[in-house]
Amino acid sequence: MLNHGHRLGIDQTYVGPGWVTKLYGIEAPPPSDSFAAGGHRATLLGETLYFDRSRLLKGVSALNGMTVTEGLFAIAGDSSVILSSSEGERVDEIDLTGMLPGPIQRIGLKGGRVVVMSGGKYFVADAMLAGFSPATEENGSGIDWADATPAPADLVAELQNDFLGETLTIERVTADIHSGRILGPAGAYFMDFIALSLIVLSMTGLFQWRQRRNGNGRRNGNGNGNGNGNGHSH
Amino acid sequence: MKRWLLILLSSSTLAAAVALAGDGGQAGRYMEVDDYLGSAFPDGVPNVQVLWVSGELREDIEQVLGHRFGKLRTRYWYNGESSVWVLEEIGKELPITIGVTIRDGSITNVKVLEFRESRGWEVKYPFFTDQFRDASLDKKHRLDRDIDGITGATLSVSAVTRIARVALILHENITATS
Repeated sequence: MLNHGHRLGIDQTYVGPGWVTKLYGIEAPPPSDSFAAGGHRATLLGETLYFDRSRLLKGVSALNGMTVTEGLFAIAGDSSVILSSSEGERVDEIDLTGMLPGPIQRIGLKGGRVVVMSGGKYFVADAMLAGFSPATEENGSGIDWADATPAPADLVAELQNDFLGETLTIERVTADIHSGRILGPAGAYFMDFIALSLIVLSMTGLFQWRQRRNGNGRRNGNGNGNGNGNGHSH
Repeated sequence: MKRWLLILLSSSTLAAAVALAGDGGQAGRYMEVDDYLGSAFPDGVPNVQVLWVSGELREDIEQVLGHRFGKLRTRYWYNGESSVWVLEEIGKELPITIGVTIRDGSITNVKVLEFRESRGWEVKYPFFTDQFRDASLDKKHRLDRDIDGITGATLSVSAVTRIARVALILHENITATS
């Protein structure tokens, strides 16, 4: 089963939140940041970015703001701007790693254009929100910057429950049952003991079988001549 | 007895060497998108454009990928002759960022720009990516040639191959409409 985990899909199927996640001692982190704009909210929980209540993107290391223009929501990560529709569908992601002097610090809006600040410098998006370019004469004035606001408690609880539902794969739990780690270090030592015992038992069994076979041979070979002739003679 | 000890010692050393070799030290960001664009368009990078992926185009792409295309639109660079697509596809768990350059319906270059997983990074090497040069699509959106795999990098090979096919479909779409 473990050898065919990917084919069986158990590496992508998750054990939902419940006693198994409690057994592992997994707890959902608190939201690291949350920003509201245009009647919607972006929240980062661990490395999962949520748009309202739906998961937008995984592997996001930072959330530095959200703004909205022309119905598109621009969400600032560490070095990219993630675009979302109002329904929480990922429209695009614009990677700015090669352009920015450092991580994105803020995101805002000026004259309908999205602006990001990085290393104290400003970068403005084009009209299609397809690319950014350095703003040579931008002094940061008149930009409506996004500010973090705390996410409502009921939303946080819902997101944390969703987060826990995608922490443990069936493959991981199966592997831990197989190795005994599901019961902690003692379980792993127990399974080691069982595995070693099986090796020792099979070796001693083989040894005993050989001894018995040799013993029978000797008896047959050293007997009074009534043996069947298959034994060893000395 | 000494012989057995020697065999045991050699096996342990070999096992340790294999374990260290699989440490995943080769994953990383190999090239920035801007540098890739610069190499694809030495006479100047054209403005970025946007293609909304919907309808039949989305169906064709998702058939190749075998899963949902995770974005509503994709960006590309096109100078009237060549187009460049920077796309992502998951190998096992994490996305691989791949740049594909196409001219006249055939691939001129495939480059793995970023690889994030611990295994399968061998797809970054030209001995693998050069196989895509001049490849085009048949009517069933398959490549017109076989791509040799790499032992231990099956999922990454498959991901790069799928992205090459998707880029060709996208190029076909923009050249048919332009």
